[in-house]
Amino acid sequence: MAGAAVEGSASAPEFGDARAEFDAFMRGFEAACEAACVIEHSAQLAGQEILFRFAGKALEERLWPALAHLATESPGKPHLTVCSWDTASTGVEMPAEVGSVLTHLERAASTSEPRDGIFAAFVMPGLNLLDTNTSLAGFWVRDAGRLQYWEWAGPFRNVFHWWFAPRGMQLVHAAAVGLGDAGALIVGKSGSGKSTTAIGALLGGLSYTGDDRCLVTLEGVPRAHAVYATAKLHNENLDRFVSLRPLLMNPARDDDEKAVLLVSQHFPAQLVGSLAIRAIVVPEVTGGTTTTFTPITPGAALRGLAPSTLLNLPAAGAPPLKFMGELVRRVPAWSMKLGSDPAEVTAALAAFLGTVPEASA
Amino acid sequence: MTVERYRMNAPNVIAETLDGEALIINLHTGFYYSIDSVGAAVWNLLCDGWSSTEVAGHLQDAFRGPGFSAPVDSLVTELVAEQLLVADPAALRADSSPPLPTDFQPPVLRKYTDMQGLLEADPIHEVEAAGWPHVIPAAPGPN
Repeated sequence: MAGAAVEGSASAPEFGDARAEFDAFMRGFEAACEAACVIEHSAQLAGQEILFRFAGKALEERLWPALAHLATESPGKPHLTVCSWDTASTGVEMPAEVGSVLTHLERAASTSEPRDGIFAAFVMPGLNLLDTNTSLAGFWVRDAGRLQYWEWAGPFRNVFHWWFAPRGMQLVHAAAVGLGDAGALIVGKSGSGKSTTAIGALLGGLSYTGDDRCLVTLEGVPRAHAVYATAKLHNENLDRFVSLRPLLMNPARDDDEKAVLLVSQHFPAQLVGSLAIRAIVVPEVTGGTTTTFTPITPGAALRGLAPSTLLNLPAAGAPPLKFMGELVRRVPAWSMKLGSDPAEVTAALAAFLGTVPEASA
Repeated sequence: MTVERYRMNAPNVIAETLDGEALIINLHTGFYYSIDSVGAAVWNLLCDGWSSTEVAGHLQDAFRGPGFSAPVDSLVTELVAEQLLVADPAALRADSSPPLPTDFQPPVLRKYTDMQGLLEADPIHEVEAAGWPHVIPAAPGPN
């Protein structure tokens, strides 16, 4: 689709004018809204009211399902408004004043600090912005129809990180499941067994707040809040969960694309708003038959949690590491050597959680 | 004579020490490191502006023996080579020092390279004249 011109987009300013870039982005968004339509959803996450505004149905249909469990029927004044648009479905090109994508890539890699109160980073597959002065955020991609699974299964990660981190809440790379409210934060790099453990727990009747990302709060007892109502599995692991095959959001997918389950649709009772974090668990695939738990040091827990969290965020900086350091100081951690049978793993995890006392406030 | 002092290579490098184990992350390379026991104390002393000679002297006082210069110098060389420490003649030495373990163990810096792929994926496959990319699926996702 040919892109429609946006008024005032003829010449780009010098690099560094964050306000001009953000204002130009919003002009693009407003133009996209006029070209398509505006779809709004109000949500609440960890006490923050968030208004999501989508220019057009194409992007809303892709990004909202993972967040729809956060919808609130009686929204208050939004703390944060997120404005999203894509060029392919609206025909509106990115205004030139927003700057070059390469500049935004370099900026994302070089600094975690906002300029004039404005965060901006191009992180695959789109541009992310947050103006802390106005509490307005932006997200743009070229083509909503060509988003990768990790984006539609877990949208707005950078905006959420920028927004929540200064408020004492950290988006972490972890799964969280629980026995009632007693939760385990399951940490580790991709392929360590986080998702398979979380999905097994889901099928085994445990409560669930996420398989890949959770928002952690430390006020009072540490808690893991559900952000995305999705669960993702490598194709090779689907054979262990054959009952999920007819439920997947992406039954037709590439070989390297993970299968995605919308938990809020198929397991709504088990998707809880948050869980108390009683244990940090670092899974390890061993090929053994029995699941066992061994205490580990806070340093080992931080090693499992922090690198994959921080290296997935644009130039995250030192404060998130301090935050995660405080979490592992307060919550005991275990290595979880995984048995080969998901049902046995879930039973062992449930029994384990039944023995772990509440973490210190 | 100029005393060689160092600082942590911030903001590319961030670190946290917990119960005598330091986790050091190089956000620029994607590598991360752990060092514990005496090594974690040495890391923190160096980040606090202590010179190699001062650190070795501190260890000599604590453990009552000679021969601490070589392991300290070796660790400094490694930390600089990994771009975790940078020389900083203007660094100010902190007065306080972290507690040392009871027994001396030569410092060992453990390097982890399993996260580097997160930074190596090139997300841009086709850039328009205006600078905004068409997104063409190729690189695997972040997780």
